[in-house]
Amino acid sequence: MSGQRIPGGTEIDRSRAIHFDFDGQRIAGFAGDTIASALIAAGVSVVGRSFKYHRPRGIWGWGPEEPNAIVDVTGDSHRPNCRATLEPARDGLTVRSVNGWPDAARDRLAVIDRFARFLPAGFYYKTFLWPNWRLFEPGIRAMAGLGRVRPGSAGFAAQAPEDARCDLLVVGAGPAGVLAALTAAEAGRDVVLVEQAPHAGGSLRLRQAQIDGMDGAAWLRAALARLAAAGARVWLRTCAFGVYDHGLVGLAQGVGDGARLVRLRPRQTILATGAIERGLPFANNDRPGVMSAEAALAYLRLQGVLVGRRVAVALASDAGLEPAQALAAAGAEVTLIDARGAAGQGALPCLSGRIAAVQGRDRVRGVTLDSGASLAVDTVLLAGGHTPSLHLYAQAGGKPVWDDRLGAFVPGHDPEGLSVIGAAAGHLALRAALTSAAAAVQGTAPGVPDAPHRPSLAVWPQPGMKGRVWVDLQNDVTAKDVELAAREGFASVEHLKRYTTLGMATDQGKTSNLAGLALLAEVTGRSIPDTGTTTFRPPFVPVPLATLAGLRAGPLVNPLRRLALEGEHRAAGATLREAGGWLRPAFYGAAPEAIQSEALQARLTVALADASPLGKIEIFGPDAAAFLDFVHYNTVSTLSPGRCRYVFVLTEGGILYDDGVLLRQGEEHFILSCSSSHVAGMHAHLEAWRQDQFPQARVMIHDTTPHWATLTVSGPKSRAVVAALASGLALDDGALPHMAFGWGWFAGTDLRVARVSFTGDRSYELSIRADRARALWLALREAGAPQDMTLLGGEALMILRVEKGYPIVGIDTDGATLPMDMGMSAPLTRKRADFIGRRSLMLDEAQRPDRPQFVGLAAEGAVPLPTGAHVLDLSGPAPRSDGFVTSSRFSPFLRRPVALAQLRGGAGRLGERVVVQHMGQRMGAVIVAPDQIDPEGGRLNAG
Amino acid sequence: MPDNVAAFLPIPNWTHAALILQGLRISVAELPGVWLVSGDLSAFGAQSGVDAEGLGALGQAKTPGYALRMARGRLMVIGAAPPAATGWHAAGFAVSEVSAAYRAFDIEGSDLPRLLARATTLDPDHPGPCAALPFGGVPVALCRIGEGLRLHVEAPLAPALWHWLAAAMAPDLAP
Repeated sequence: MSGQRIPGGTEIDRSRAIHFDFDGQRIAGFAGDTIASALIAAGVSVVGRSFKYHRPRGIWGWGPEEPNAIVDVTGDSHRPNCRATLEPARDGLTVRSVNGWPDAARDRLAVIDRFARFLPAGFYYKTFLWPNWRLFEPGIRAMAGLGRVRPGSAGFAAQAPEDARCDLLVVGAGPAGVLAALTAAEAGRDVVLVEQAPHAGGSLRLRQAQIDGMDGAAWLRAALARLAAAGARVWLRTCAFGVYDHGLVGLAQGVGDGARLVRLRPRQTILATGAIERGLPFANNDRPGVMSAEAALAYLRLQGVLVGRRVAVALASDAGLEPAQALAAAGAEVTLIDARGAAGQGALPCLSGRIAAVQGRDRVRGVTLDSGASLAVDTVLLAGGHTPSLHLYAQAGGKPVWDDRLGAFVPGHDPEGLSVIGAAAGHLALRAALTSAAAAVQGTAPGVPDAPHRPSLAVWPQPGMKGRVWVDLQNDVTAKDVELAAREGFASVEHLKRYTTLGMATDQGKTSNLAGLALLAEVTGRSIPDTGTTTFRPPFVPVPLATLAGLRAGPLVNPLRRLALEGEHRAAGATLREAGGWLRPAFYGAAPEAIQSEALQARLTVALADASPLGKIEIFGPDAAAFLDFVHYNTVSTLSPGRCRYVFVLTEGGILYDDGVLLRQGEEHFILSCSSSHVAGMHAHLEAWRQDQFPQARVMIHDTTPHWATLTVSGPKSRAVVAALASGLALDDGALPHMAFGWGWFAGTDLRVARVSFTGDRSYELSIRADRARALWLALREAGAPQDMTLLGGEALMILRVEKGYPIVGIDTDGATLPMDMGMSAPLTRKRADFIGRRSLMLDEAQRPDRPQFVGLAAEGAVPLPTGAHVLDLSGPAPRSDGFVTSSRFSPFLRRPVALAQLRGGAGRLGERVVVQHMGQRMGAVIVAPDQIDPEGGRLNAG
Repeated sequence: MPDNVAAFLPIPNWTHAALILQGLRISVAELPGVWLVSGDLSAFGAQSGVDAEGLGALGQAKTPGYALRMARGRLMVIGAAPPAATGWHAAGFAVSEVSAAYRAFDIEGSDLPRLLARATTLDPDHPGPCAALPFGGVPVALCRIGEGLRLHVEAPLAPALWHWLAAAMAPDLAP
């Protein structure tokens, strides 16, 4: 290829010159160029390296079908894997080719192509296995992929997705789409017309036409003006990438930085998505300089770029004639090679036959025909016919049918609410396309002169073709690979796809799928329709994850709940961390000393912690007690008002879902204090079972968690601190024993005081409305000062609860843990009322004596056991895992490590010494009861 | 151990907070009192005088008191005085005070339709009977107030929604 800039170009602005860097070369262009057009104009022939064989590749197309020109673009942001044919060229960009080291033009890995015979499709299933795949894996992974991510760079700019609605969506602003949209809009419908290119017009942008006596471009201008006057919304640079349930259409609005996701809900959709030009099969049909004839016409007419000087145009379709004539008129030396036989194509020299091979490596230098004749050319344009673009139609549930005349799949029956017009429906000629558009909207087709043409010829790759004939350019799949797949038994087109990766690249097989399945059909002795197509799935073009994520990135990635007292924690020097969906204080001061200090002080005197995230779900009604009996593993209906009970909630499979504390406020009023991280889940769980199993008029559920702040005062001196509040509540153990609660007052506000402990020491959970919490916090700090009170963060709390052996569901349990594994067996045998999960607990698997059981581990030595370390069973010929460490900390109070574990038959193995292994290192430990600090429970009432 | 404090967006000073954006003004509204009511809403309405139907999304609220429909058989009642005593009522409904649970944002301006399009999947022509819906990824109760909208959001999630509003309605990127 020897491209150059020439006068002309309807979509560039020569008064606005731009420059960008491509692989270290300064490239000049104009506003309105794409990166691809500017590169061709600058004479760049090699723009990338093929995925597997590192063959030099040039630009093939001019739109999203482009398989080769994948580039990394760095401007205000860094965006990998962009299509050069879609990216606007902008001043100051840095553009890098991909998959070439150091770049595409000088790729040192090109030597791989010499070993191509050892790297056919599926080679990785058969090679690089001895002596060990892991020896080769790092190198192969390093070579995989295309563009490079730069972790430190700003990525795509975030924009909030939008919802939109309309009466009629028309996808594609070519002549058919414009006519349909215009007719509907002028009939009063609310119309949205989307077009992925920066300009409307489709084929009218580059092909000459006469419509209603006007030049095609003039007709288009007038139609767009009428569309605007009729109030239609015309969205350019907007790609409809998917059709989803109920006709929802996903749009990516705006290429370049910051494409916005639009979720459009049309009442009706018309697809005018056009057709994609096909290539032709011959040896080395992947060389730089081999490209789509339509693309060459586009570069010439839109950007004033002549793609070559000596051009061969291989025809299987009359669609290649206009590009040939236009390039000749622009000064290129053009020769036609017509697979249908030379039939007098006017003034251009025409040879009958097909190309057998291309000569040249980094660019085309000539072609050899099947007749043996040779031509010296620098560019080969292929007009292999057109494949209707049916992706969205198929996503919507449409079933394509085979059209033998066209040699392509066309739409069959229309899915509800959707129809296909124009070239996408197989109406490749302008007149037929406009007629189909008018019919779809009960309109009138404009007048278009008849244009006689020769029928196209479908030219598919054939078995046994000489040389390397490319079918899928982007994934480096040749005709021989398709034949190999068939020989190895992968006769289904879905298996062909997965075995060879044909159609699995970022172009999704837009230029390769049909050729591949046609060859498979031939090799397996079937027709093309019998061979069928693979499943069309969104997205139609690559959509940046940032577009789909919208604003859900960085600090907004997940809405985080914030404590009412966050300001107080920050003022006290807290380090805040995300825990259970909340931002919570992890420790106060400098880690790790602060954590150890807080945990020790909590045991010695008293600690104050913010436990506000704990759930407070209220359950009311005459059937509330029965309902809660059903939902919980434990019996709760026997709980007296003013009392609390530790409870488990199971799934229907008997698995531990959550634990918590249930408070009985009255005969028909309970409060469930569930885990902080499970509030939404528990609320949904309760509501689901309420609606499913109980008269809804007799059970009500309110999640009041955000109304309350809960402050925990824990330790031997905790009663003295709480007493200083003078809440009016009697705090002696007779009036307020462990696992009881009552109501007092603080500063004129209701204050609930519950004796519940997560540390194993005497503890009070004080709950007050969140907007009055600051005063309580300050009062407690003041009352705690004489008692040597410490603030307690989440990290220190973990130490305390591990010392005490209190489990956390989801940390010390997993998706298989049953309540009996945690030592809670009584309800299974004694509870009369039915409960969720009961039947599952009766299964043999649930009753096995060797199930993993919850235990403590006392490590030998001063270093805590690693969480996740395995306890080994060394009784057999090879070590096996007997269980694993679930939680582990260093206890400042006990002055040694403490750990919790799930261990096979653990409850019956107390005192046993075991070996614990982690990352190749072994340690010793002794199995102990989970409570390593106060098994008698005396500390709960101490002080 | 990394200190993540700097990674989290600050909690606005709610006393003074306001967002002045192109086409929108967002301010913090004072809610007098908030209660959840579930159960026999007709009985509740008869006893309290509150409209038992409740406003749906984009329903027009009249201050100082109004009720929002949150689900089948559930209202959020906003007002200066409790509509009924908290707890279970033999007439068949339950009442919980949640006055400290919510923050309210009032939003006015010409760009309200665009905000709704970015924050919700709501069809403005058919908003439906329920005021509870996801808004910018966060559960809210939504109604009209005056010429604008009022969002009621759980107080712990209010900062996240505030920052989302600022980001979502920032000036659009140039094409």
